[in-house]
Amino acid sequence: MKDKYTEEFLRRLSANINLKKQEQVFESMLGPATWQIQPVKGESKDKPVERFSNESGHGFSMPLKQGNQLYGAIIALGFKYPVTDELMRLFAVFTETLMREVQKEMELTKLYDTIRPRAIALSTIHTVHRLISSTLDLDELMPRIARLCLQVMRAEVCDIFLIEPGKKKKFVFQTSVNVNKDSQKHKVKVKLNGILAHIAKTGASRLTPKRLLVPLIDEDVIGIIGIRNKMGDKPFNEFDKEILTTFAEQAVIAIRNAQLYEEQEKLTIGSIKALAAILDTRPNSIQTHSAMFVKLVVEVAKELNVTAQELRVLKYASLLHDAGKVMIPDEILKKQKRLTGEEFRIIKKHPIKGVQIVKPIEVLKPVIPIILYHHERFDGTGYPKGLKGSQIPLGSRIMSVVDAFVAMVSKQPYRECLNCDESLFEIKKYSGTQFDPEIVDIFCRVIAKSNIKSLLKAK
Amino acid sequence: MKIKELIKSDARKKVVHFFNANPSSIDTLKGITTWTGLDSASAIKALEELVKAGILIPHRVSSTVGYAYAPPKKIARDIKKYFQAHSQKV
Repeated sequence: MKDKYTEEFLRRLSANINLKKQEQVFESMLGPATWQIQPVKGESKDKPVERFSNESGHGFSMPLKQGNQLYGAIIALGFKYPVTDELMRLFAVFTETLMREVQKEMELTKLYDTIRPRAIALSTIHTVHRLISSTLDLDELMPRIARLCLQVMRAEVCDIFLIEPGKKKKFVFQTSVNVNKDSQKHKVKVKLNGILAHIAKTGASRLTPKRLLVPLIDEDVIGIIGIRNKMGDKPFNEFDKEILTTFAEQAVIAIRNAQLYEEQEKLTIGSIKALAAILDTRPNSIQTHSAMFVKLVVEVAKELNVTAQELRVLKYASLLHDAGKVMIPDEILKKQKRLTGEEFRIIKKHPIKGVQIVKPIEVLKPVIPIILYHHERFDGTGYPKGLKGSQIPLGSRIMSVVDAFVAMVSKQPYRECLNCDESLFEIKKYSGTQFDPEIVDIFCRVIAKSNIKSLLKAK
Repeated sequence: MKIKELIKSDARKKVVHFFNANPSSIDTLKGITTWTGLDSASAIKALEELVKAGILIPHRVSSTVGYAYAPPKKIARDIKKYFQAHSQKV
């Protein structure tokens, strides 16, 4: 190590431009000469300055020394004139300064070489954290974790096994990504046995040349992450285990967040469905929580490339948009004849009543505008506020079309139901006035899809 | 993209050099500009060209894009050989 350092030190010194300039100054005073930097031979720390003269000319040899450290010597041969004491002293001072400069340069390089890879690794950890924290959707998260793991660990296959919740812990759900085969599988149920069961029980990692398995721990073992076949046919080592363990710790946080979010979602949707079921007990309910209603809203929304969050909100809105009707008297809802002005005025309040019902529920706040405005008309002649065009929230515009269609294909107290084609004809008739024309077009395309048609036939 | 084409642009060369030396790295545009000394405009152009060429994989999420090194094996070997042979500071 010491020799390599000395070698590098002397190399940098001999290449130093200021040394070249100093040599030129000497030559301008004493004549041209040959300059050499030689490494030290032996351990002589007291090598003195030597001046000499021979048939080649005059010259000197000066040790390159810093404190107790002797690196070598600088030798100059062939001057026309002898080197004076003053010039030697000057050269000594200059050389010492130069050596300090080179030493600092080398220390900075060493620091750079030490810090840079660590900084790059830290930046990778930070980027990975951002990438896996960006989603709460477990189906999106698991393959992403696997792919990122392969990148960081430079392996060919990544398997993630999430232990099935419950006391028995007999099965795991496997997500795997294989870069060689460019294949991926997700949520494959496999039995928890063998080495996986051992790791799940003990929380200990397992390292072999071809495979590395590390537990995913959040208070308890919630799963296992494993990699196979390191790139370049190299064996996995302890350092890889350390890196994968760090990666696993980050992955656990993201996985647990996604699982908790999923549980909360199930709870929320369950509560909403229960509420919707209560609404269905009211007269003249068109069973707004029916599969068809929600399906149609979702299909139209997907065609519009809404975000996952927006889709979620629309599903909630589909189940609850007529919640306000629970406050409408039965006799109005059951009425078979045309409604009076006063009765219609009461009906028109149901969006506002619906908002009052859902308002206290924090998670349903995004649903409020959709419920409130689902009876607005595209031409501004709707209620409750007479909003027009794009002032009406997109969800409300979608709901308006689907609501009308489903009402037409359902039997009402005051009329028989229309068939699909008749209902579509009516929808198209009011495109641009009651309904957003873009939504109408998309809706017609959605209805034309075979799976939707079968749903309609079943109804 | 062949190696010659790959390293034709100085920016692409610097990015590939970085990833060849740090194949496990996954980083954002900001990180890449720090490690390569490139300006943002040059770096993003090079990164996206390399994505198109199949040398890098982008992990795109709403808040950022993380770029990772994923060339085919043969190209990875050729890249490594190139930088070993040239051993130059990029």
